[in-house]
Amino acid sequence: MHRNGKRGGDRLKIMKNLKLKAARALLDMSQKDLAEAVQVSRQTIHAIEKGDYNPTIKLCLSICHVLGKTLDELFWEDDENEEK
Amino acid sequence: MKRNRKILKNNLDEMQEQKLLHIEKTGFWMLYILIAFDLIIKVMTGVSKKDVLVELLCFMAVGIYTFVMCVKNGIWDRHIQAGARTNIVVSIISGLIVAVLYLIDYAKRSGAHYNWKAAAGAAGFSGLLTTLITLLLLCLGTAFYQRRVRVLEEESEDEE
Repeated sequence: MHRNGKRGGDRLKIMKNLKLKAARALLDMSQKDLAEAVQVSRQTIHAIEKGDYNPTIKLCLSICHVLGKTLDELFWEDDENEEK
Repeated sequence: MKRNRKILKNNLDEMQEQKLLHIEKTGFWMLYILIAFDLIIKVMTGVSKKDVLVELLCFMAVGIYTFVMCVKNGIWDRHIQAGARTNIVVSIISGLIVAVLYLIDYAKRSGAHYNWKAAAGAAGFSGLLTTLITLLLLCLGTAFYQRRVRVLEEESEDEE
C-alpha cells in the first residue's frame, strides 16, 4: 500500500483511481472538499486519483469513511474499472 | 508547552511528508558526496590536514552514524547484497581510486622530475593498503550486520 508513486517500491505505475473520482462526484464533493474532510492537501487527493501517489492504509480508510464506501469498492484494482 | 506543540506541529500530509523525505534524502547524498570531493580536492591541493580536520570529523561522524543505524535496523544496502564478493569488489574499487589519486598527486608534486617506476610502486602500495583496510572494515561490518539480522529474525519469530 505504502508506495511513493512513480519511484517507490516495485516501480509499477499505479493505476488511475476512477472509482474514487466517481464516488466523490456522486456525493457532489470537489477534490478540495474531500481533502479538507480527510485533512490532507488537495494535491494529495489529485495525485491519488491520477495514480501518482499510493496512499497509506490510514488515509485509504479515512477516504472510505468520508465517502461511505469500503476499501474494496474504492481501492481494489481490477482491469475493468481502472485504466493506465 | 502548548506553544512548543504549535511550533512543532507537522503541517504536511503523508504525501508531502514522503516528498520532503525524498528531497532530504537527495540533499543528504548531494552534500555527502560534495564534502567527499571537497576533502579530496583540499588534500590534493596541499591544504594541511589540520585545516580539513573538522570537515573530516563531520564526514566520518555522519558515515559512522549512517552505518550504525543501518546495521541496527538490519539494513545493508538498497541494491547490493552483503557478502564476500561485494566486499572484495568494493575494496578493489576503493584501492584503485586511491592509487589513481596518488598518481595524480605524485605527478603534481614532482613536476618535471617524474619517476614512473617510483610513482607506480608508491601508488600500488597505497592502493593495496587501502584495499586491505577497506576489506577488513567491510568484513567486520558484514559480520556485525549478519549477526544483527539473525537477532532481528529471531525476535520476529518470538513475537509471532
